[in-house]
Amino acid sequence: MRNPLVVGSRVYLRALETNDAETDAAQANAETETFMYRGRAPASPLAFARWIEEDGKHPMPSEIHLAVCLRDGDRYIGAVSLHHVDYLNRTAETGSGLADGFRNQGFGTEAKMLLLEYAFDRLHLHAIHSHVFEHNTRSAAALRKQGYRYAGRRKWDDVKGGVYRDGLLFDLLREEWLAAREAWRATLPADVRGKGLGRDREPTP
Amino acid sequence: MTGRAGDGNLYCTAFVRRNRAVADWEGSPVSVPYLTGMLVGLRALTLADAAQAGAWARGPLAMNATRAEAFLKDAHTDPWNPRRRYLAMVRVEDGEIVGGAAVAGAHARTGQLDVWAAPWLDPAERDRLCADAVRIAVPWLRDENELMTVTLAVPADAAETIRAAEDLGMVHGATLREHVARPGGRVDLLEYQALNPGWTIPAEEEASGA
Repeated sequence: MRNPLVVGSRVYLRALETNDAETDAAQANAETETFMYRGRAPASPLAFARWIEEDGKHPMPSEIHLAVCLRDGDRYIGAVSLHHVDYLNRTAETGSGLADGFRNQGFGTEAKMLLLEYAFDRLHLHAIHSHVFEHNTRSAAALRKQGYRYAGRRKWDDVKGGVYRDGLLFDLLREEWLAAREAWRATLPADVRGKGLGRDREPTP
Repeated sequence: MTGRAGDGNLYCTAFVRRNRAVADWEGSPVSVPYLTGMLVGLRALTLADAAQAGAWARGPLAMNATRAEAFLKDAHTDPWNPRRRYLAMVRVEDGEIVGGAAVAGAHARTGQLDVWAAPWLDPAERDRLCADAVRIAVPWLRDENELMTVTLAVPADAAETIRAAEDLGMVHGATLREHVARPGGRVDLLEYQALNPGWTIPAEEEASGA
């Protein structure tokens, strides 16, 4: 593993490096889905490199983006993020995205559980929230599986298919995340459960 | 749905008339008559305000004048399309800066309004001032700037601000539990939205969003 920050059974999280920009651009340009955002756009590694460079300058950043890497081979397969980190109220918004070809295999759920462990047990945040567009039913289902509760609706939030669509808000407290993590752990094969995230351990100081 | 925009403008005008006699600060070149309420007005920030950053800067962290000047210069690079518009909240009675406001997305389709009062004021006074700022800012954004939605997050213990939002017809759309830290506890954060009646939404879309 290369510079790991939070380690799970199959994936780990690390800081983004400037040389991840080529992969970022390649992943964005290979995207096959259009339902998540307004639409796709050609991406340049130059923009990603600048974004990563700026991202690393802040000692107490309000935006935290972490690379999701496979433990087996260190391949960088996507990113998870904390947006609008509020160190005073101890809240943040979560976001995540895996490259095409690595979805629907459990990597996203594991990466998200690692991000939440980082948020709750290392940054000691108290509450988390997340936003999805109402047509993004896949992400909404994933959030519920991760323990998030439906918090309400933001009307006319964006346009999709020629009509205005609402945004859905979800929130999550630490106890709910712990319960969801236990439920998720129970679904894992026994040999996986004992590694990385599956271990019972004290919160990292 | 269809409707007529403009009621909020009348509301603002009424406030301006009532306060004209006491609003000394209106003579200032940065005063904004159409953003003047009963208690406070909203106006642009200038470099002269750097020394009072403790009032208009968001949050409890200290900001000295040097850093405040740098912040103000960085925040004011494009008068026509600001990323985020920062405003001073000024007490009508004496012109003192008693808080701030920020608008993200003005001149776009949707806007996020944020208002706060200076940390040295007591909580009830801060709530009253924020409520007044909401009463003048929301009609300005919804009716004059014609934003389709104006979103405002309000702590659940800010009763006056909540009342102001509801009086303006804002809709309570979401509750983020325990999102605000208070001494000795936490409170929920309520998200309100002003939905512009001047926008026309096709009936079938309205039904799908219900």
